[in-house]
Amino acid sequence: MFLARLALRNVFRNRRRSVITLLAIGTGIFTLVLTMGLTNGYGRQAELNLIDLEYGHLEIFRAGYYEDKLAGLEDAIAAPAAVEAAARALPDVAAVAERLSVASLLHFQGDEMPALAVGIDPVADNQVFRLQPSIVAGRWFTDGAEGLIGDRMAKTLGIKPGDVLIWQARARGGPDAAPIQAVEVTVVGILSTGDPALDGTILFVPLAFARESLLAGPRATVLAVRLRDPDRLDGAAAALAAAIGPDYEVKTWRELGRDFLQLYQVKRAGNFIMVLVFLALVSVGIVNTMLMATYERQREIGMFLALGMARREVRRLFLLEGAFLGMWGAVAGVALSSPLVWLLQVYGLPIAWISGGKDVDIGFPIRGVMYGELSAGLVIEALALGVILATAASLWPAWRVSRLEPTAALRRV
Amino acid sequence: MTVLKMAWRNLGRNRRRTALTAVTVMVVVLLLIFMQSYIHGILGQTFDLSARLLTGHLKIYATGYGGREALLPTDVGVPHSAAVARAVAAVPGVAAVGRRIRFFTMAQHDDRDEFPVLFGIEPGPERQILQLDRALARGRYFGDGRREAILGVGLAQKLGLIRSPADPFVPGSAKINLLAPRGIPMTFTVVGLARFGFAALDDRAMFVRFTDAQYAADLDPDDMATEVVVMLEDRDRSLPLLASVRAAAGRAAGAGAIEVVPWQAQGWLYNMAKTARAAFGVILFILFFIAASTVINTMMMAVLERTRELGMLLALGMKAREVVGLVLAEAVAIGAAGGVAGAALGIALGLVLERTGIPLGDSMKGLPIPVGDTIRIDFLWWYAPLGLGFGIAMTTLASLWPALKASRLAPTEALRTV
Repeated sequence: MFLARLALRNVFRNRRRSVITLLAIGTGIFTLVLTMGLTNGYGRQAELNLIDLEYGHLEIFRAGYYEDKLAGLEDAIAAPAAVEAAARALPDVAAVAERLSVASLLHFQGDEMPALAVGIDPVADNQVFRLQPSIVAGRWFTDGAEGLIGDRMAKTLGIKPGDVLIWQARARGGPDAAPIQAVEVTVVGILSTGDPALDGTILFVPLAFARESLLAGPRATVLAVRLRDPDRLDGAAAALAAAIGPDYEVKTWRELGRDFLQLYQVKRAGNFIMVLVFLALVSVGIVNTMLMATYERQREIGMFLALGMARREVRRLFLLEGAFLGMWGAVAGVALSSPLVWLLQVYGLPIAWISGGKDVDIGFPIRGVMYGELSAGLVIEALALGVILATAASLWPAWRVSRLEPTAALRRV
Repeated sequence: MTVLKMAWRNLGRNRRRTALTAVTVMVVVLLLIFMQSYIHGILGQTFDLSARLLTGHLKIYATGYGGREALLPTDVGVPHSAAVARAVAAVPGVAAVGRRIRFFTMAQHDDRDEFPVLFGIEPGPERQILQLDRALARGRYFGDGRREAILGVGLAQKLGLIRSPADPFVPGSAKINLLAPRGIPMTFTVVGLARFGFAALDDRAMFVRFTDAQYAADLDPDDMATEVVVMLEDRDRSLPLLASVRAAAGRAAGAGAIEVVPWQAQGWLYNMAKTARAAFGVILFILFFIAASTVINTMMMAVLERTRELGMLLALGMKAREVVGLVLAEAVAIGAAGGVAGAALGIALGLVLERTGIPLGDSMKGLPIPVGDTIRIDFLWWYAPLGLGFGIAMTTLASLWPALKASRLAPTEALRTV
């Protein structure tokens, strides 16, 4: 306690120097919180999009279907009901939705564009995915020749709710038996999910209508699963794989979204390294300050030692001073940056603002607005990093000063 | 001169402090040089790849095509495209011209089908532009045979030509049925598989000869291309050359039939790059702030430590101006020493990384713009003096306050301090 009081007083003895050091630490921590708050924010937003909009928690395919990069309807799950029942019997599984996807070409008023047509159950799908809340125009579909498309595709093709497009895809049964099916689909709703792939390249149709149009019988290309506890991802995947047998394979959303997650890791590591370099510079500044302090106070330290203070305690005194500086600097940095990150969390950063007004597809499942994330973890990380760095930077000066010879130190001016 | 000599001696008085400050400046200068080379490298590489694969430095297309490009329509095209290409190639500053036709199509192999983008390209000129011949992962480039196709590796996998990217593939062993827009089924022989490390091409592109694509899309009556890609000797000359290319192309195609768009106006890449450069400015500012506070701290210490000494100098008649000069000279010396070391390290790092590149693996292939699998940083010689200048200027600026403070000491007061 005595040491702490002494350290505290010492920090105030040279106020200007302490303020400058605090500013440096504060700027470093400010940069850390802002950069990582934004990085974590879009990472989290993207992960939620991957789960809620693209994959669910787990997906079940027929063995080989996924590695083969989407084969035809022949390679779909032939009897999904049995697999679904086996999945539902597991305690981890909250909901299962069957989907039937097929590469397609869409025609509208003389234009055509490729798209993935996805048959979804208008009721069951909502228990796994969160598509219905993303309707921005028109309505959710029920059944029949109705379709939903994203706002990006709607803009590209110039489609409004009520317009009729032609959906072309190959039905089941090999090149000769299966004619190219071209059916009319009335677009009844427009989605805006914030996921560029989904908003720009997918046509959703009711599952029953898709099966009927593609002569697919009861087939499903994929069963998407929502878990009761998202943290049980790998355990649940293993249990599910065991329950449904080797004819099928289970992929987690982390495996399915590998491309994005890889990209995100590279980006996050890059940002973190940049921040660490800043903090390293800050540390040099702290070493500098502490070293100054040791020179300035040689006589005083010599006096302490002569009066019987243990070298260990002198060391601790300087470390404590460093820790105080680090803590206040970090607190100041956090105090200044967290309102900004909070604003980013609430209001977000429009991507168009970054890109000069254009709709950007940067390979992330995010578009429109990018949000920050202010988490307790980040704040604690920032505070801890400030204290640890400042203390570590004081190690060498503290060690030096504790080795002073009392007699020699007292003789110095 | 005396002032400089004193400053020099002062540097040696607290060697460790001098060294620490110099190291700070060194790190800042090194960081600055590296970041500039890195940003210049990654942007330049992305600009070049994007121009080669997608936008050209200038792109000529039919009037009215621009707003609908996402749909790759074939109902409009650049007429008399061979004449247009010849006329544009004759414009000084133009390096290569390639006519292209792009449209969505249905491709079929055995019982699988996909809806790729068909690229009709001219095999000769595209050796300089798309460089498909250098991106071949299997098989060969277009030869003498008719109706030959080269597929992206991912597309070939989706169509079942190969099971995995490592599988062997015999040129000519597979046929692809194409259902083209005009409705005539055509069959192509696959002679090669290409890998650009860019998913938009690898997973979705099928390349055929320009003339075959022209026939497939019924664009041959007027010798139409959907776009003519123009590569310049210098990508930064796209705006100055825009008018002459437009005039040359307009004369050949008919005035009003075509528009010419520079690469900067296509997509969002260029705007994004501007933002990246602005972000670099912000980082520079933060760096300046952090490093400057270290320098202020050090110089302030140096001044406070020597209050008595400075008071003595003032009492003996040294002018305030000279005291400022003394402190500044010290700072500049530290800045210069650290800066030179940082610049030397920066040059070394730049030259090494320029050669080896920074490997990214395939983590970037899913991006909608081509980045490549290695970042070649691009070190320009003037980054070194720029970084050095920044280091020295920063140190000098940061020392102004301590220097002024030192010069304003009242001699009598200063002499009384311990």
